[in-house]
Amino acid sequence: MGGSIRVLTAICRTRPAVRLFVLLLTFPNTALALRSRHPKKEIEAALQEAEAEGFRVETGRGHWGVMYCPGPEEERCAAPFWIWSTPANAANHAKQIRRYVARCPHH
Amino acid sequence: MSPAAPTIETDHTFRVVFAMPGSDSLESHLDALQAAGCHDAAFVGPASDGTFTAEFDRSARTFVIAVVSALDAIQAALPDAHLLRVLPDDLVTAAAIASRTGRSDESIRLLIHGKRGPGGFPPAAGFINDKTQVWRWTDVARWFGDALGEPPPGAEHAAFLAALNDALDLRARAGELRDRHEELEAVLRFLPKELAPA
Repeated sequence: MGGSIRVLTAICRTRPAVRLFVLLLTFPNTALALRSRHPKKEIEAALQEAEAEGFRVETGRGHWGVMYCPGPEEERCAAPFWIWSTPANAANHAKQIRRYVARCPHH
Repeated sequence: MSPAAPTIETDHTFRVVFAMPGSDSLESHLDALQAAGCHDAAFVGPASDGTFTAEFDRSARTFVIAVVSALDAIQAALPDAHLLRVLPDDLVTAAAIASRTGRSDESIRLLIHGKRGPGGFPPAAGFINDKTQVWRWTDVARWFGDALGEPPPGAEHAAFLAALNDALDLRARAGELRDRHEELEAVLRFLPKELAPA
């Protein structure tokens, strides 16, 4: 076991792609940094809070992306949550994201 | 004489639950919803029961204007949608009463059983299972205002939302009774005259 870790560490030092892969396996939340940021900073902040609670954000769906409750599929409160790219009011859309997260019993 | 309508617009928060028979995603409807001005709402769904929810923060002079314009906009964007309910709903559990009034579950239990407060808590509307009772929020909100002097936030809209949701229910039933004139006539007899169209 110790030998395998030493080999993996050595590979990680020389191969950035392998290092990234291992990092993602070890710290899945690091994937946050890989999705594109929402253009409205209030909404991006609310999404990062949701992700910290276990919610999954997928970009490139609908007008900007979707957010999924972390519960098992058959128990999800209601999914997906459709995230606007240009909502009527960005601050209110951020509030809507936070209220949805607060109501969800699965995190 | 009714009080003058406010002239300043404020944000009103409420949720609309709707169904779209034959459609299992909102993705292809988002353009239409935005064009109808519904991008002040967060759309969620389908839920496990197939329904969708739109949570509005709508700027309007009154709560009624906000709700009615939102329902009209959803129906314009999604002509086949069935508008089911506007939340917060009228039927509430003791836990929901605690949440809406900002009290603990134990405090509500004591109020219900008359062990705290002036007594006379409204009777339950029924049971949703062997253990869980439900109350009508319209009754409970009125009691909190009258008996405790603590009207809960949004309590002034409780009667409107309860009647509106009953009207939405009735609209769904009316579709089922469309060609059954005798039954429709019977139902019409019991509509209160206050609800007769002008």
